[in-house]
Amino acid sequence: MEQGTDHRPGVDPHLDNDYESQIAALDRAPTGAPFKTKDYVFLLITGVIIPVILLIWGWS
Amino acid sequence: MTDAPYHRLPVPLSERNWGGWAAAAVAATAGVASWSFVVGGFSAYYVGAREGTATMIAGALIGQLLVTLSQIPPVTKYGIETLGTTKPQLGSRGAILALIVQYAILIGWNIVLIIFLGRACASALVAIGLIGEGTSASAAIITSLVATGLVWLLLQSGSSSLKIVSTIVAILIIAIGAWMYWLLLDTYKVSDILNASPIGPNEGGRLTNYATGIELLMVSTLGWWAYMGGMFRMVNGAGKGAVPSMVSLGFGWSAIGLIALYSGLVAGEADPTIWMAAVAGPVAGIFVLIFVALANLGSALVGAHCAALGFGELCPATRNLPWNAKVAAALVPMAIVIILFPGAFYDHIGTFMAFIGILVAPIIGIQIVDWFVLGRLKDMHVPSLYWHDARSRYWYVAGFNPAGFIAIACGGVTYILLLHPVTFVPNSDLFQYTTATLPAAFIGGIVYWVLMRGRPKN
Repeated sequence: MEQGTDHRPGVDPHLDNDYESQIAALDRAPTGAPFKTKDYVFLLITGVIIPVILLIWGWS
Repeated sequence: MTDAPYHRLPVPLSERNWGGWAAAAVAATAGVASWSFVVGGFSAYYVGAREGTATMIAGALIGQLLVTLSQIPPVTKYGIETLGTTKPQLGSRGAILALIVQYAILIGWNIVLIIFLGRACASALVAIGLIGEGTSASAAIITSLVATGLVWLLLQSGSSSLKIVSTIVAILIIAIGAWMYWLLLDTYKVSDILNASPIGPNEGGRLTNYATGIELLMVSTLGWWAYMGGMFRMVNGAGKGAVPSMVSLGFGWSAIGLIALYSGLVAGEADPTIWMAAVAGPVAGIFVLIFVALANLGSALVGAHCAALGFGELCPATRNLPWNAKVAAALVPMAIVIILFPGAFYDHIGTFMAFIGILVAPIIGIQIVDWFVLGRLKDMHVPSLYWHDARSRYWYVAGFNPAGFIAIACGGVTYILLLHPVTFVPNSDLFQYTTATLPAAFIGGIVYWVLMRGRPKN
């Protein structure tokens, strides 16, 4: 791995070429799965419905 | 990419090997600590047992929902840390605000936990006659420093130690937590607990105090925002993060905090290291000490890990530091405070946390809007998170996104207009209907949306 500075204008001089290529490769890296419908339902139940029910119970 | 140290780049999908249970264990370990008792004890000032049960759990779940929506999607999709998730909103350089907030939360709470642990150890040593009262303060400092050193040692192997230690600690603290519940309900009648009055409610009436109870848990729960990246970047899907986030963090820490609420109401003492030893003898005190040690060390471990990661993602200069240097950046400030002014810091932790909350609520609001309304999550340009120059799509104006800062300022002002962050006395009658955290997050999000909606997505 070549150490050293990058003197291109506007480019951060702290990066080395190998690390630079690793950063560029991030654009094509596989990504994790997003929330599915069941996850949103779970969040709705735990984050909204249950709290509302609890707060009504606590106030009564 | 896999040859790079894990702390310098996003975690590749192939290496994100934490399942839901591992994430739940780490989250539970982080969630349960002495801060649960601190918040439970504060709640006892404003609400009784029934109201407090509702406000603590509901407030924590609502707060954790906001944290989950702002952090789980980007962290689990790209394997990035919390600081990285703020660069699209604040800019490549502007994210330093997020670093300051994140770092302050993590280090601040770690200091509280380690000081609490040191004091508990010193009290135990005095109780069993190994040291005298006069040396208690020194013993507390020494044990706090030993605990800090232990955290450093455990962090030498990065996330793998986190996973292993957390699994063990989570099982033990759940078991001891259940025993603490049993002891509380065995010592005091349920009717006495339910009939106990709040210790020092606000004068604004029942609804104001009810809203205050909700607000206390919501704003405290927002502090988990700082931990999410470090905990969930090892998870390979958002769905695997949702349950641990809501159950282990949102519900878990409030469920333990209820012990302090009930003891604060009926016994006048929220600190379990005091009331449990008083009612059940020195053996119980030892078990509580074990609980405090495990819980606080586990949480401090997670916090220091997250702080080290965040520090490393600030800029290339910090990114290229070895892992030990990043860990030192997290632990050395802790050690300095522990040695020089532990009492002053511990006594003003409420003030410190209140001002953190003013910033975190709008940050969360703008992130939720950025991901779900503006749709910028799916098009996030990950290389731009690691370029600190004009090549980055998040360079905006000299590395700062004015829209993000304006939105955070508007959200912060909203918070203060509704609630005095230090005294927790409402500044507006509106507070009893809205709390302060929800409007602050909402206003921050709305302002950000207005200012950003005309921009190309990335």
